[in-house]
Amino acid sequence: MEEKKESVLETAKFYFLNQKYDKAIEIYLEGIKHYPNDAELFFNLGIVYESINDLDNAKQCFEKVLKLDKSFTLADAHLKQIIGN
Amino acid sequence: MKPNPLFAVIGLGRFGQSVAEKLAEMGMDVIAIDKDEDRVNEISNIVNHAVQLNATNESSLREIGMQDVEIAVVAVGEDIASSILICSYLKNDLKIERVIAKAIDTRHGAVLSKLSVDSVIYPERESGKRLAERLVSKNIFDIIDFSETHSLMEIRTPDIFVEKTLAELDLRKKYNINVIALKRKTPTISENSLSSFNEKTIISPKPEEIIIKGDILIIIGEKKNLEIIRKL
Repeated sequence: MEEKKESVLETAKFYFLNQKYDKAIEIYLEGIKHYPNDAELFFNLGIVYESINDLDNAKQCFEKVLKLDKSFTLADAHLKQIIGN
Repeated sequence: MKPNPLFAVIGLGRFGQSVAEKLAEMGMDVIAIDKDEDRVNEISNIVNHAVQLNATNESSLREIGMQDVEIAVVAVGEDIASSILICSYLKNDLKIERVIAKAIDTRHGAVLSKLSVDSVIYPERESGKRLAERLVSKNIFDIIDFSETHSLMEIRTPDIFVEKTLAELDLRKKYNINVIALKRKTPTISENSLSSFNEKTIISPKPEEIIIKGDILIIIGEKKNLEIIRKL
């Protein structure tokens, strides 16, 4: 199962880096179905949403990350940035 | 040609004053009324008739010829009792054709409606709504008006612009707007292998610049044309 998560991350990051954001979102959402409590997947998905200025979805992702892992300071920083906007 | 109707504005707080001034500016005949002398003096050079009186007194209203008024705006929102009393006189006793009253909340508005007031308005609620629309409109990040007709708008790129060059889009020709800058988030992976991005602003983008999903366009133009872009 862990390997599958790595493959989700790798594929989604590939699309993300190539600015194929819709595809990256699709891969992350699929991955989240299998790993619904994985803060890293939610964080990366939040970053994709934030990259395309879909701030509502980005905010939801960072909130979810903080629910799963209160110590995820980067998620907190992005959330504050969005709320400040 | 039918002459302009005679207006009355009762209550010259910020809202009432603005209504009276705008009507006068548009060449309308306006009676502006307030019980406060300073407020009346302030507007006396702008409207045709500025009168200091307590509008809760029906005979005072008759004395100044309120029965000839066709459209009355009652802008004494904060004093609910006075507002209700005045509206009742105007509508039910003086039989004014059209009475528009400012309400401070829905209960106040409900009472005014029962008095057959023609229109109840909530200025604070309405301006709040406009602000909220701007704040939560998913695609608009900022609007700066720099004249009555022109604005600068920061807007998330409409999907139909994505992967096209500015030359292909030809926004100047099609919509008479100019793209003065682009804000873009470039994806990257940070040292801890998490996704990240770098932000940059491209000032005066070249015609061959390709629009990327999520780009924020900073555009200037006529408001009506910016509105077209907003709805794309």
